[in-house]
This record gives sequence, structure tokens and C-alpha cells, in this order.
Amino acid sequence: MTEIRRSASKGVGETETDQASGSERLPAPTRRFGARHSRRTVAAAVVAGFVAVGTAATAGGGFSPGDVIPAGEPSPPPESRLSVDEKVLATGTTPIAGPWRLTAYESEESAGQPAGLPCIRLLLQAPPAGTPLAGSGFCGKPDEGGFSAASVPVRDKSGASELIVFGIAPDQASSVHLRSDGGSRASARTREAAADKVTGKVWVMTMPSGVRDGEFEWVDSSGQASATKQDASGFFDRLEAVEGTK
Amino acid sequence: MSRVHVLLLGVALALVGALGWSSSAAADNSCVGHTYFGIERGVACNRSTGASAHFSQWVDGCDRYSDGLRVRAWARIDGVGDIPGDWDTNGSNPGCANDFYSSGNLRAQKICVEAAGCSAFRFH
Repeated sequence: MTEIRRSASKGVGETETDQASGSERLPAPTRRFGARHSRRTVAAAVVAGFVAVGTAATAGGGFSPGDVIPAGEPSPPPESRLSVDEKVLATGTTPIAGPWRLTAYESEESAGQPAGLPCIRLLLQAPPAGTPLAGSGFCGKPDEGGFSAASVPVRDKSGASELIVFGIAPDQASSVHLRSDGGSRASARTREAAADKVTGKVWVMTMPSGVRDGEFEWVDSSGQASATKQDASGFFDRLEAVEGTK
Repeated sequence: MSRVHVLLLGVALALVGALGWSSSAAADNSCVGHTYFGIERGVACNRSTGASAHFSQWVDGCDRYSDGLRVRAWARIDGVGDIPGDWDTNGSNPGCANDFYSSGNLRAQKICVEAAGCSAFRFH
């Protein structure tokens, strides 16, 4: 079980992922974050059900949830730095992808999208050799369902692979589940995102090995599941493509 | 050759140089679209950020038309193969799915529209 604790002055919250697929629960240390918290009001913390190995600073490349990465900060990977500030929403580490960081920011003007859109992205801080993608994300407000997701499929030189899926859920969502074969195969609690950039809540989960289909749904605090589901097949397509690479 | 000819030649060479520079700069931050029944349904665009502005690392897949069809970009990576992007998660609303390839070998992108086909790959 992974736990991320926030200091009491920032609000209390815990996050865990239940990997109901039968894979072992991996122990994780309790991590405080927000030590370098900005004085700006932040709705809350963040998400993830991941194994945390090492310190929060290591996983986040020196930044912790709640921190603001100033524009131009050459944090790893250096070619990923933006000309706008980013707010760290969550950090963590997974066995194959290694350390990662989830941030919120406003888009910069580009051929595909205008400046000023709310965006989130998850970047691998030390992508394993041989993996083609070092991160992903999306910009723009979720559609009327309030649910958006992106993925980072990862493989290493030995061929071991992993799929991280993350995204935004509506304010009333307390958890997100991947359902397959009538059961929940993975889940993650949601946390409020940086309100000034991203509306709704954010979540992150690692897909259990052996799971290759399913739908995402979010669940509110009373246990009521969302009426709309999101098909997860596109994310698994990406994992298969990455697994098939040289 | 008269002075006028030399001057004109110099201007011509300068223009060629400027256009050449513009063309290579335009290789970044460029898009390819897919049109279906006369309407551009989606685009895939490449861009760079940070210190490595001389090559693109990002591919954005952007839905451009509200028709219920999902769009996603594909990236061609040298020595690796073709990787599909995520579906643009908010439909035709502003904003795109963004993929970050740090290997430095991103060579082309295309856009595919669900049930409507794909563009050709656009090479950088």
C-alpha cells in the first residue's frame, strides 16, 4: 500500500492504490510533502497509488507536491522545461518507469493548441533505456463528463513493461477504478488539483500486469459509480506498441 | 557583371538563405491534418520545448471537429517504430493529447480519425 501524507497545515489526506489483480502489495514509506510549499492557496494535494522508493525529493527531481517549478527551471529531463510555471501535483516511483512527476501548468502557444489552456502532464524523471516515451499529458478542460485520462506506457531493455494511467475526474469523485471482467482490477483515490489551473480532481494508477482491457469509472463518496465509463483499450494499445518496439 | 547585377544577386542569395532558414524552422511546430468528407477532423502537430529546440520531442493529437469520432496522433520514432498517441480526451474542445518523446529520434507524425482513416506521415 502506498501512502502519501501531507502535513497537517496543508490538509490531511492519504492515497493508496489497491491492486486487486492479485499482484503483491508493495510496501511504501510514508512521505511528507509540501515542505517547500508555496504560500499560494492550494485546494489540496494529490494522487497516486504507487510504490514510493527513496525520498520525495528524489522521485520529484528535487520538487515535492505543492511546489512550483519556475519557468525555465532545468529540472529533469532538461528538454522538457517550459516557459511557464508548473505546479507539482504528485510524485512517485514505479518499478519499471522509475521516478515520475505529475504537474499542472498553462499551455504555451503552439501549432496545435492556444496558450493559456489548463494542462497536466506526467513526466518520467529517469526514463529507462529503450523506452520511447518519457511522458504524456493533455491540455484543455475535460468534456461534459468531467473525466479525462492519458497514459505513459514504459518498457525497459529487458522487455519488462508497465502502464501508468492518470487524469482528471469530477469534483465529486473520491476514487477511480479500472473495471474488467465484472470486478475492479485497479483503483486510485482522487485528490483535488491545483484549483487555479486545473478544475476537478486528479488521479494516477499503475495497471496491474496481465490486465489488458477494461473501463474506467469514478466513484463518489457514497459509493455511487459514474454513469459514463471510459474505455481503456486505447491505453493498452499503446502499451502493446511500446512492448513491440526494438 | 554590373553593380546592379551584383546587388540583385546578393539580394537573391539573401532571400534564398532566409527562406531556407524559415523552412528548417518550420519543421518544428507544424501539423498534418486528416480531412473526411471535406472537413478537417483532426491534426497531429510536433513541437519542441526546453533546451532541445533544434529537434521536436512533442506530438500533439488534436480533435478539430465535433462529430463523435475520436482522434489520435501517431509518432514514428527512428529505430523504434510507430507509436499511437492517446485519444484526444476532450473531443473537439480546445486542447490536445500530448506525448513526449525524449529519445531525440522523433521523425514524423500523422493523425488518425476513428473510422475515417489517417493522414500520411509528416516528416520533420
